[in-house]
Amino acid sequence: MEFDPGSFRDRSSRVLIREGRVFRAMDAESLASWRRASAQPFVQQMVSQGQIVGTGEVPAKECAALGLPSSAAGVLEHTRIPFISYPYEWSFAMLRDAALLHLRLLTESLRAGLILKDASPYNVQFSGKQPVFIDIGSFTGHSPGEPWLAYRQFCELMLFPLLLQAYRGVHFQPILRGELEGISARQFLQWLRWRDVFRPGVFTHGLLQAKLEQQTQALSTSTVRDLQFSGFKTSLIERLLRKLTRLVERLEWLPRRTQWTNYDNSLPHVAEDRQSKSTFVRNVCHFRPRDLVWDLGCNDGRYSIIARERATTVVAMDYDHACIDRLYRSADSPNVLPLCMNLANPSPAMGWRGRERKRIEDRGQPQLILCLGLIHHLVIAANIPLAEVVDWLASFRAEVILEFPSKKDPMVQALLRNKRDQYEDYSRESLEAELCRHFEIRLSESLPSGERTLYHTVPVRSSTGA
Amino acid sequence: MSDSAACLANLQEAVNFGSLSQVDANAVQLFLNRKGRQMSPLLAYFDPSAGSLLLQALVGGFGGLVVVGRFLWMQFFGAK
Repeated sequence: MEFDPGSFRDRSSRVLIREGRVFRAMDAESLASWRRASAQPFVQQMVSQGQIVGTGEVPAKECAALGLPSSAAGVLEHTRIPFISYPYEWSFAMLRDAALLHLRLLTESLRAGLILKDASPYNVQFSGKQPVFIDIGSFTGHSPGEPWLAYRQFCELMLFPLLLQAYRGVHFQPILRGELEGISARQFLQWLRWRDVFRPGVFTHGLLQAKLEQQTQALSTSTVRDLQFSGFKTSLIERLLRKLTRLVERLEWLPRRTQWTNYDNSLPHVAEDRQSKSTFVRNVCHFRPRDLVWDLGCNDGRYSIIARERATTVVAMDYDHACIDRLYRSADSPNVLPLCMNLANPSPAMGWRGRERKRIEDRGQPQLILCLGLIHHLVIAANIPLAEVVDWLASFRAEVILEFPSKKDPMVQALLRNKRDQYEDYSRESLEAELCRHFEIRLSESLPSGERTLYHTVPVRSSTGA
Repeated sequence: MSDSAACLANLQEAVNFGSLSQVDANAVQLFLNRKGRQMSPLLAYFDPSAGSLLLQALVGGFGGLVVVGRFLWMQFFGAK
């Protein structure tokens, strides 16, 4: 029986995928907790609003037919999330919304005599722009006087990353990619200046916590049991949750202007070509509906928004965190999932045995890829050979809309200004030769500025039309 | 629902209704723990850190400080 490689830390409930469907095998206690939780009005409301993943119990006969584990007390089936993403790919606002969802769930759960076992942002996914709580197995009964066991985990994986970015402008994504368990209180303090101690949340959740962790290492008895015996009350957790909610709600990240945040108005050729590009992209995207579209190097998401009109899900990726954060906050794009991604170094497979968190290429098969204003950055700025870029695009077996700026284009000139021009492979002729090895070029169009060409390509030996 | 879970739920109901104080409910639970009944509190699959658990009480106002005070008394003077 093969469970999902990322579902092993909590043995009481484990996820498995069968025939494209998502199931969760539960032990008796977890199943009882879920049944109790699912009867609560707040859970039913949050499921209907899409904030908790749709869940139903699978009848025993169907479990046997699907070969699901017979040793489990019960099996649940979940609504499938269109595209899996991880906290180290989220923008600031996305992680903040995931944290607020967690806090709200905890607050409501405590009122119903329940609690969540853990507080990890990996328990949240995004369906388009909607954060969705997926770890149904986390619901459990709350014992009288029991403290919130996951408080430290909440701080390390959600609060400290948010505080770092809000107060110091330090992007948390590379840190969380390197440290899947999060940022400890001690590490968090090392990033701060002395005057940051006076900023909301730092003294209490950072400094005090680090000190207490150090001082209590030598305790030999169970602190959980001792606190219960000392009269610990649920109201203490409720008070803490209220404070955390207020703190997280007020956190803001105001990024400095980057060269990409106002890209559309920054260079003459961009404004000139915008209308032609939009028409080209719209014509291809609207020809037929698609389940999954990727927009690589999406910038402000202008073309993602065009693509989403005839796509179930659009995943918009860009290296610029400010652009991604702005795209997430905009109301125009409910089924667009923006992700922070350096496409020259995309998210690899990570975690235990390199299988716990999937690499970006293994999380879904796009039917269409937009590669607009990107290829020159990969080839000239990141020094990736043109043939390898095209080969990588071809590996997805998807249609591609690709924009190629020649070496005379102002942006390419800017990239080459202080570099030796070693890019003999960077030419329209070379590109078309590489494209023809993997694709059929259905359409090409020169843009008004004169130095950029759009291509619509279809994988060879594909039965798709255009 | 198991006997222990039902017992826990009943204890919490009694606390919520006001017929049993939180301290008494905790004492009952710990008494039963010592008698070997399966009412041990939920322990996570990760280390919650003793310091973080104490901090929750510390930031809880006067009531939390009383809890911390009792906790420290137990550590230094109470029976183990």
